[in-house]
Amino acid sequence: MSQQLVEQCQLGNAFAQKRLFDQYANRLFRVSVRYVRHEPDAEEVLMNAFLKAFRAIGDFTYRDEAGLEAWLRRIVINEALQKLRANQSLPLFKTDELTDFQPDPEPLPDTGLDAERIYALICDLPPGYRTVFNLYAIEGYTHREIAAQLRISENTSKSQLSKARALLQSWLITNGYERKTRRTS
Amino acid sequence: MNERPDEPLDQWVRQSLDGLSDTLPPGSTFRGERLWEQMSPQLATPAPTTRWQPKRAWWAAAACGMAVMLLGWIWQRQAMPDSVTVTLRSQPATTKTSPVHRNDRKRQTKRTDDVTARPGAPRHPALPHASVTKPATLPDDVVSVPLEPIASVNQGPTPPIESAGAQPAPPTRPTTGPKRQFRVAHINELMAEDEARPAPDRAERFVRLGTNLNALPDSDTPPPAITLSLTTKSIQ
Repeated sequence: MSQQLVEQCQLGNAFAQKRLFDQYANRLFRVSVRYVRHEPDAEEVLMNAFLKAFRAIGDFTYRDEAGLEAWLRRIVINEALQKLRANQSLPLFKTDELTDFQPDPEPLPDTGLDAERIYALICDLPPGYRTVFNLYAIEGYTHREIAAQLRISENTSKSQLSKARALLQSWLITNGYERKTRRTS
Repeated sequence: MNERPDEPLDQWVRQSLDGLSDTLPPGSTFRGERLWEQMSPQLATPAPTTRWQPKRAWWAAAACGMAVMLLGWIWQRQAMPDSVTVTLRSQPATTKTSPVHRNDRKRQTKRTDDVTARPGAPRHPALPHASVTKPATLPDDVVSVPLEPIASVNQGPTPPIESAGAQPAPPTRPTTGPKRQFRVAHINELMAEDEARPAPDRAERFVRLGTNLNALPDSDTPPPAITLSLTTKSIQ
């Protein structure tokens, strides 16, 4: 189904483009919000990303649906990072946070927290922490790739990631996350 | 993206987010239809039917432009020498000095002509300080020096004269005839010319540097004149 959509989009079929947009718009909108935080900016990022995707879809080789989604997701992420640079939100790495918090060495996830709450906590992270955490933990980029994208050093990327994890853990605990050891005690 | 040991927190967060449905976040004001209405006018240009790579087109256009520029430069370089040569040849000889080999033949030819053209012309007297009479028409390659005749009888032909130490005088050009030119020659060449020239002609190589005869008082004897020999050979 997606392959036919892609082929029709490559031929310039407006109906196929609309269907492809409807299929991935909400999911990619969430990805955009995870990076830029504000919904008006996320809408602009999403629109620019789809325009670029439809114009470059002629060079895309369809393999499977996961590949198509990954391709669209990369376009959205690049547009989101450009938006952050345009808003001068990058690089913005605050080093004065978590001065007195020590992260838990053995964090164990709890099913008490729903996915929406976790999504909201990620969006609440500071821009620098959030960007590095999204790129590394969720998208799977390496520190070298993140450093090249954000024009920072690898050490800065690693330190921001560790701080993002620590802050997220603290929030998870505050918002209902309970360790198994605590439940047993 | 390289494989690496995954952190439990990262893995847990990814799994949680993958479980999210395609619904919008709670409280979101995003509307896909509204965004599509904004996008559709910008999608007016249809997608290409063939997989055309614009990068290759740009490279091809750049290569064609470079080739055209190179051909134009080569054509211009080939055309330039001809135009320059024509320009040089058409310019009049205004220099006072000219290559030796070119004028040497001229002077020899002229001297030969001067000697042979007037077979009945009287020769100059063999005076130790004979001065040169100013000819009625100067040869072309002679530097005209303001001269006054000592002997009014001699009106013979005067070969071209080289004034090595003479004061520079403004060259006078005849209204008709070829243009005069100066030549810079080595002393050896002058000696060779002297040997080739007939003896009576030697006296004509002297340039009289004298005062103006008009200012002198009337006298039967001509005023002494400053003569300057052009060669180291003694005058016979």
